[in-house]
Amino acid sequence: MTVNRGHGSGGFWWWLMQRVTGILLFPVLLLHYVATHLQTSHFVEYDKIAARVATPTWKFLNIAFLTIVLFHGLYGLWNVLLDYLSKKPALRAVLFSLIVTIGLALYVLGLVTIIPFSA
Amino acid sequence: MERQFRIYRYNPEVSPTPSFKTYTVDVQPAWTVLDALNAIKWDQDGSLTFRRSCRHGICGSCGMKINGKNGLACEIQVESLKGVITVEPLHGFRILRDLVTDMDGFFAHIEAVKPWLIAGTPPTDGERLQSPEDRKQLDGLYECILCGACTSACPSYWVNDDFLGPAALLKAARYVMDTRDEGFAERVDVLDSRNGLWRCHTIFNCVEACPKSLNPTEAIVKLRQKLTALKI
Repeated sequence: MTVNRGHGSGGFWWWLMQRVTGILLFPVLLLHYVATHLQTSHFVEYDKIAARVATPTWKFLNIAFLTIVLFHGLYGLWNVLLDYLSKKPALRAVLFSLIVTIGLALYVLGLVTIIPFSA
Repeated sequence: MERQFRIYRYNPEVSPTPSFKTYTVDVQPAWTVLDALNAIKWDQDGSLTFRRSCRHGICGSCGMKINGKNGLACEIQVESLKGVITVEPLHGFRILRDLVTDMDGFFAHIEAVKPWLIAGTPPTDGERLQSPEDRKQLDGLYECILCGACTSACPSYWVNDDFLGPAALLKAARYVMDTRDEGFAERVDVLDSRNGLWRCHTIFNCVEACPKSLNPTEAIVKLRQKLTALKI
């Protein structure tokens, strides 16, 4: 009886990145939550938010948040799907391409939203 | 004392549809479920099929699902179970007949992790000795009896029987953690494969199912730590 091992590395680096982004997600999410939902003002004002998002520190944090969330979420989804796709290589390729495409599209959408803000 | 046993019956030569059949057994004190199954087979229905061998929880032959939980029929006392006792084959494996499952894939996965000592030095005249401290690192790893209860309880294995499964990964850890073994690099191909270590989602069913109280999830974590140290 043969054992279906798949090709090449089974995903050590992917797994490690999932752990790293999982750990990074916590402080970044906490910071985002505090800044967005627990700020002293009761009203969300566009000018105030725009001024904050325009600062280099917040741009970096938001881009990091976008990167971490997209990787962690989409790889998590892919990891679940892989359980069901061991014997379906064609569907696996299609779904992998779809997830990568969705990820890149959302990443670009996020970047073009974050980057244009200026002080 | 009379007890009822509701037993999974399946014989593809007779009917493609499995069913349950209930037997009433006059159970003696200190009987195990295996004693009751033997009584049914010998006195009531010779067609009932199941695996058994040692009767002492060592051979791993009589792994089955008893009242919804995986275990060894020879270790579980009938007195410890309430009501009608339901006995089914191990989940996740192809059922050959009644309580007998196809374990070929299970053992192929065990073999794939090279469950033997791979030493860099030629054999000596005597044993390959190790210190008591090094030997102690193998506690909780070497005791596996290959009954399949853990792999059968693994949801990742249910949906993907190409996954090596907790038993094979525990067996790999038994050799990888052995200070006399130098074969980790040889095992990396299979451990770091798509159906290797990364298909475990740390659900812990295997820990709950093991009749020997072993911890395959911890063994998998140890292998991941070892692989991380090798790669980084």
